Amino acid sequence: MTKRAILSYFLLFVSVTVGLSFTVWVSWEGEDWYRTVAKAYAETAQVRVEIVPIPALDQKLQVGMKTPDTLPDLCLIKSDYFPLVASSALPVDSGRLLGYAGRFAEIGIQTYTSGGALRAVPFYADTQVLFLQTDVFEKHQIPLPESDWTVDDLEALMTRLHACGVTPIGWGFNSPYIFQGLQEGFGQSFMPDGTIRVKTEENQGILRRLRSWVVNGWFKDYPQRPGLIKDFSAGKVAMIPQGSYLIPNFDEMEVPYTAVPLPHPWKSVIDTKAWVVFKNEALVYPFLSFLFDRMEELCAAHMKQSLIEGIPSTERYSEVFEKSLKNSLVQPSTIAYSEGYWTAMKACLELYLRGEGELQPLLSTAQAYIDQFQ
Amino acid sequence: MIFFFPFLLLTAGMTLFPAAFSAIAGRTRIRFDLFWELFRDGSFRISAQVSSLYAIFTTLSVFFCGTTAAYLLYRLPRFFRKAGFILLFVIWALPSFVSLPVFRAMLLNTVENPIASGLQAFLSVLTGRLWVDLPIMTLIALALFEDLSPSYDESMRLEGAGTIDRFFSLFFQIARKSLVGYLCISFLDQMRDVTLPMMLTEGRPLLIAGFTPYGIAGATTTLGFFLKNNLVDFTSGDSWTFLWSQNALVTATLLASFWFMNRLFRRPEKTFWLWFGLEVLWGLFLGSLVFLPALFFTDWKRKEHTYACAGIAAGASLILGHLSPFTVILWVFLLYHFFPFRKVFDRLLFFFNTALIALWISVSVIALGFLVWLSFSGYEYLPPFPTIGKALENLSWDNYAYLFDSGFLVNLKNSLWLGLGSGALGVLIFSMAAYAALKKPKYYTFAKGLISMTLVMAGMNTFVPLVLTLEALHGLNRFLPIVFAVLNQSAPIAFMTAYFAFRQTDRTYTELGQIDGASRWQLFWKILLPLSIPTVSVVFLYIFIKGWSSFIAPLLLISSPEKYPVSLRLYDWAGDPGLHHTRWGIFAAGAILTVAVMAVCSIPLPALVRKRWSSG
Repeated sequence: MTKRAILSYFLLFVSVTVGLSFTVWVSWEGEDWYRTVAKAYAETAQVRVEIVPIPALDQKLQVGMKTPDTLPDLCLIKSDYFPLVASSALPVDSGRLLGYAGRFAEIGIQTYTSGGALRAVPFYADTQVLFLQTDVFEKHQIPLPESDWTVDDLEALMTRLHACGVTPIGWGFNSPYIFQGLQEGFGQSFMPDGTIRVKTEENQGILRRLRSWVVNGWFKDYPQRPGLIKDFSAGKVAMIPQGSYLIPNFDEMEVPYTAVPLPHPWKSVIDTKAWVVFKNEALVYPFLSFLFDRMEELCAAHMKQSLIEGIPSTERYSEVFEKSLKNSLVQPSTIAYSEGYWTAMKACLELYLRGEGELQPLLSTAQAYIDQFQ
Repeated sequence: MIFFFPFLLLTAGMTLFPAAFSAIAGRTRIRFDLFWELFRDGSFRISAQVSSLYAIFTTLSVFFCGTTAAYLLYRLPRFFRKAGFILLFVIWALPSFVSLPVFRAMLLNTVENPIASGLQAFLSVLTGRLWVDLPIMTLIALALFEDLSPSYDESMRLEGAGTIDRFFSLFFQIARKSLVGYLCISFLDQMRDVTLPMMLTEGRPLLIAGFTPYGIAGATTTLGFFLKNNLVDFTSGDSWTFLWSQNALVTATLLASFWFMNRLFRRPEKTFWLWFGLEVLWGLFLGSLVFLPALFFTDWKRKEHTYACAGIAAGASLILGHLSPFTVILWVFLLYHFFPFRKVFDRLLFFFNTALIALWISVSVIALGFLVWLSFSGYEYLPPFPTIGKALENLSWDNYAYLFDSGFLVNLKNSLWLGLGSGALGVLIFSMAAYAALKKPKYYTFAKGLISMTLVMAGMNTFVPLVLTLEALHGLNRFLPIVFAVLNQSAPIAFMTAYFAFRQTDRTYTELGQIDGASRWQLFWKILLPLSIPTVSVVFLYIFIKGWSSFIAPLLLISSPEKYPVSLRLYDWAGDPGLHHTRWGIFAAGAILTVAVMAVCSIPLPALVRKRWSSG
């Protein structure tokens, strides 16, 4: 530890005299924040950090994996991309993250461990919650659900809402992002050995249940998110299960809403982001520590949950998030999941919930599709 | 050869070498025995059929509407003509990552569920394509009409031909003959279209027959989107064999399409057999089932009998409601050739096209208005259309201020270099190649081969070898390789447009030049190029816009933000293709500034397009 600290200070000293720099690829929210932090770091440590916002990161990484010299020193990824970059990522040397070693949330460690080593530094997460349109509930004098509720309670609530002429719940039929929480709540498709089995009794049960929601008029298909948000804002649909990243949008649009955890046993899907170190470890780790010292601002501005324990939370819905985290699902970081399961279940869900196919053959095809990856 | 050499070098460097590199790297992974299985697979079949229909409808509708719009513009008084020209230019200048999110936003604000049915989804995608592609077709057709001596039109008018008659007898025929090459390329481009189905419908609604262990296809899944899905799916896995085999199959299909499109526009009935064969292989659709015995009992060598069989097959399919690409093609063909009331048909077609043009104008005006309003608003998520009262609330210059603070001017400057560099170099390379092809027909055949390879082979697979090569040559983070990538991408349409424009020019001038002892360079530079200024200007504009709005090449070849063109910044603000993180206000402000700068840069060009060769 002392040696590493000495080495870090030595590098800082060298950087002051020589003028070192490194490159960081970032995507998604917070581009301006990263620039501000990089500027502050350059003033403090005399190391220039080039923040490069990358649109279409997946395409850039696909080419980068085959041309490793073009990769940056540090890159922010989401869990879907981890199987792609895992073999090129340097193992995380937690000891260099002064003050943050051993403070990573378990879900982050689970997601980004490959070949027995942690290969990305967990950063933040978005959590699935159920958004409720409060105006609708007030207008029809229906009490908001308690945080400890079940899917049976949800069905009872949907019956009441439907009787009032409101569409009770909505999301895209073809969304595995939403479905997998139900799937893992009622059964198990993501096996401990990494394989995925979708043709299970439990899946058939939950899919039939979802289909009955559609037939009863409780559950409406919204193929694209903007349409869903528009109807939710206008009070045409009362409840939507979505990621917590929508909270700033709802605030901006002044939508009357609140958020509750998903009803038991429906699990919240945790969508995580992490830092992958490709090179220049000695320069990169002090920057990451510097970044973590300030990440509270990022989490507050974009409603993110830190994957580093002990980062103070100022979120309004922190209690809801904590409950959701306790009943959460970490997305598997395998090709079979990100490419096979995701694509196959999208098709299976759409066709079955639209009433265009029989359940058994659809699940068999989905399983055959996924099996090509495992 | 010297005139053709730069074009050859460009294609060799940007397509042939990387494609060969890629093919050698993956040669062991192609399993030809999988071809048959993949070919018979429902997902591939549906995707190929959807692609064919989509390509036929978009190519034909854009062609019919574009030529009609050009004719209307040609006849309009100067002021309206200018206004129309500006609107066309502005919409053309909107890069697809700007125009498509805006179109999608408008679609979602007007239609509750664009993919409620296959037909609705298909029509949504068609409308989007028509909106995006109409300007370039109109401008090319207008340039052709401007090239035409007014005496032809005048003499027809004096003979008593009406407006619509003159259009179909003269202008439309000129466009049809001159734009065959362009239409073939456009057809192929539509077959491998990715952006529009991805951003508007994600290839949905899916079809049950299109869900198989090999792939997934729906009512709007084009071959390009189908392949992209599978490329993404299999890139990092162990299923390389599958990927390469599927990729090779789609490539072969596209090459075959290019070949047969050349025939379709010249002798459509000759292509019936291909459609028919495909349908037999893909599951015996009703059209082919009826077509087969009908042909069997007649003398198929006689053209009339073939038409009769086509009529029977199309009629049976219509009565029983059994649609397939083959039967649709038969209908279109028969309708076009055998509609008894030709004049009525022409009039109906003209008015239908005019109605579509009116729709295009409305969509364009609303889209631009929406974009301007967004650029002054603070919205970060997709807002609904505002009411007039609300539209004026909380407007500010903040988004523009942010752009200036965040170095957007540097991005504009970079894009300008890319656009102008690509345009100037492109005009030179493709005009020279077209001139060589005009002189020696074997170069034209050779060029068509190179173009078809560029069309079907250049893609993400060719970028990896390019990045490796450029890295070794220290060519990354520079503009020149991007310019070459843009030129390679523009080659098919730019070359064909230049070639057909040169072919239309009056040969007397070049012959006179030859007699006077002008060198080949002088003939090209001092006679042929000035004679074709209107079309060459459109070629310049086309490449300029491609360079300005190029996305994939800068994304993969540049990693330094100070060298980013506007496209990367705008795409970044637009969020991912799902538009989940769109910063609408800043995105719209950036798009408006982009179009404004492009318009200013291109002010001299419309004048050139309108300039008649006779006065030039």
